[in-house]
Amino acid sequence: MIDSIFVERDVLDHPVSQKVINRLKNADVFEIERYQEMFNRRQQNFRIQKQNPALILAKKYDNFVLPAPSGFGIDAQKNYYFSHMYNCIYDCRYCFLQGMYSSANYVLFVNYEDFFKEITDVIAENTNDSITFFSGYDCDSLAFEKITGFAEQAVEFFSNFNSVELELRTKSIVSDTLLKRSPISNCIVAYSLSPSNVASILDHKAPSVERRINALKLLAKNGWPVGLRFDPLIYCSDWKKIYSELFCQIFSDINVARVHSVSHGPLRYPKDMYKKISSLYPDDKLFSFPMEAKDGIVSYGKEIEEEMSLFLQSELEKYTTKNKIFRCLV
Amino acid sequence: MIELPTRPSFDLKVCWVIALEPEARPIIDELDLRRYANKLNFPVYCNPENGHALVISGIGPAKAAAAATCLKMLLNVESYVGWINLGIAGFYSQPIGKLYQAIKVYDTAEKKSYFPGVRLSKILKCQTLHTVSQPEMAYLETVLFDMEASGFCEMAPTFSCNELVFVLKIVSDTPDHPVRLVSKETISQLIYQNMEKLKEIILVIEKLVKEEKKRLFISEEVFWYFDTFHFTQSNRHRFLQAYRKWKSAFPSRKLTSTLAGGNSASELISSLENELLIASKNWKLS
Repeated sequence: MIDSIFVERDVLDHPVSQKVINRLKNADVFEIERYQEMFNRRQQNFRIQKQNPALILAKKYDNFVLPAPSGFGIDAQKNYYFSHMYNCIYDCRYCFLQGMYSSANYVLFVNYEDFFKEITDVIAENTNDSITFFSGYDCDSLAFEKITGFAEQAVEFFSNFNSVELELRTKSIVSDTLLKRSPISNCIVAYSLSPSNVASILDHKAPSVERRINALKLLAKNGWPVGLRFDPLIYCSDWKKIYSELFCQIFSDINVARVHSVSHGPLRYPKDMYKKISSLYPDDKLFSFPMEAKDGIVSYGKEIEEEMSLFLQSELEKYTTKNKIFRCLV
Repeated sequence: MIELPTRPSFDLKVCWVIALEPEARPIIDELDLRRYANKLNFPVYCNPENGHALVISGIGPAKAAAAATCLKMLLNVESYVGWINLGIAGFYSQPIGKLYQAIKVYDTAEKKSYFPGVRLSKILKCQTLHTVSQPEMAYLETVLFDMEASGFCEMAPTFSCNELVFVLKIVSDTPDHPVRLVSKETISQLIYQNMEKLKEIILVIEKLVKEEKKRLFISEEVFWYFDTFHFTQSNRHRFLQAYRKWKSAFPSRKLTSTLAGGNSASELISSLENELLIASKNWKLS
């Protein structure tokens, strides 16, 4: 568990900081000026730091809500994302966060009120458009919930805006926050899933796929709209068989009406990010695959991407309607 | 005194940067370090058998930074090696002799912070340390005080990485026991009495160093090809990249069997890439 908390002096007395510090009673607390002095420092070793990350409590000053990259979305006219946290307690080998940040420490922005204010403004500016807000782009939306309490506040906030959607993207099975309250129809709890033998190799420190599936089924049973996210798709010799088995496992014993959306996306990295991540784990077979580098993007290549995408589309259509299936192309 | 070749061939694991001889003596004794002849002003000690080296820097952050740099240059220290700054420190409260890991180091003159090391919180307590330019007499803040760590933290991460740089301080003086009462003998005694914990810390650091060395390791068989064939700088890099992927996919294969027919750098690289491409049809993740 977290043994050290670094707190920006300006937010030491913030109620969220105090709650977090109280919840992590055994952690030592250190004051800092700004989180960047620690988080953005050069010469950090992400891989070693990941063995024992610290928690940094900070204040965010701007860019609370950002437009989602094109190709990232599930049907809404406008897609935005917000990140109340940087980094994740899981250690999935393919995760882009390893290449995005030089630090594996967790940063939690405690001024939730400013996120909600900017979301309110964005909603007000887009009254004629359908909007989805994505949480969990730079972190897992629920994995840290017992410490942060962010999702609880976010769900309560979005319950006042029926016409806009919130996606909580997660691999966490900690869903008490949601189960203890009545569901809201505009909050999608979206689970990132891979075939279990892929996840057991690549999704370090994350709950098993079986437990994730049980968690999402429980949420669906309790009336929550759930999302299924097969992103990134991982290529291996028996990928067709294992993805088919995964779909069969998920769609058995679930009320399909509760499945809000299904999306899938290829494994892709900007070239520099791939270089950085693969150098952290040069022995990992995920990175020894002969990937294709084209237009600054490293991927399995068009042929494999298309084959996987078409197969997934046709397999998923066996279980759900076409209009619920989306291909993510970030 | 031992004489070593200009570029030592021994396998260094940990470099120590210590301000004073009485602080260094217990480490020199424990690790059986021997004086290494050099023309610099900083006394250097090392033990090629256990992979430890030590430099005595003198007082002040500039000397700590300079001594670390000298050690790096003198022994051609690799980037996976761990660096430790060990020494005594002032603290606002007792007990004298308690060992801390400084995980925030603040230079009061430069007004600059450093966050060295993976936290070893399972072994010892962590603290904030202020590097000051004069011995601390007031102890007004609830932090440790020393006179070197910020200089060490400025330089050492550039030789390795921030996570392999450790600042360890033992409380020697407090408001009740001011620094003027701390003798050379006391200083050595404080280090000796923490030796068991220091040995525990060394084991953890050596394990991290081993992992990092493995990550950065380039096999001798690669160098054989670099020596035998002409590689441009770019091809050298490509070959290394291709080799790393190939080795990860086929850990038990030898380069000589795959590259038997290659006559140029490009052919060698293509051979490795082709073998990976063929294997990709039936790719296993583990």
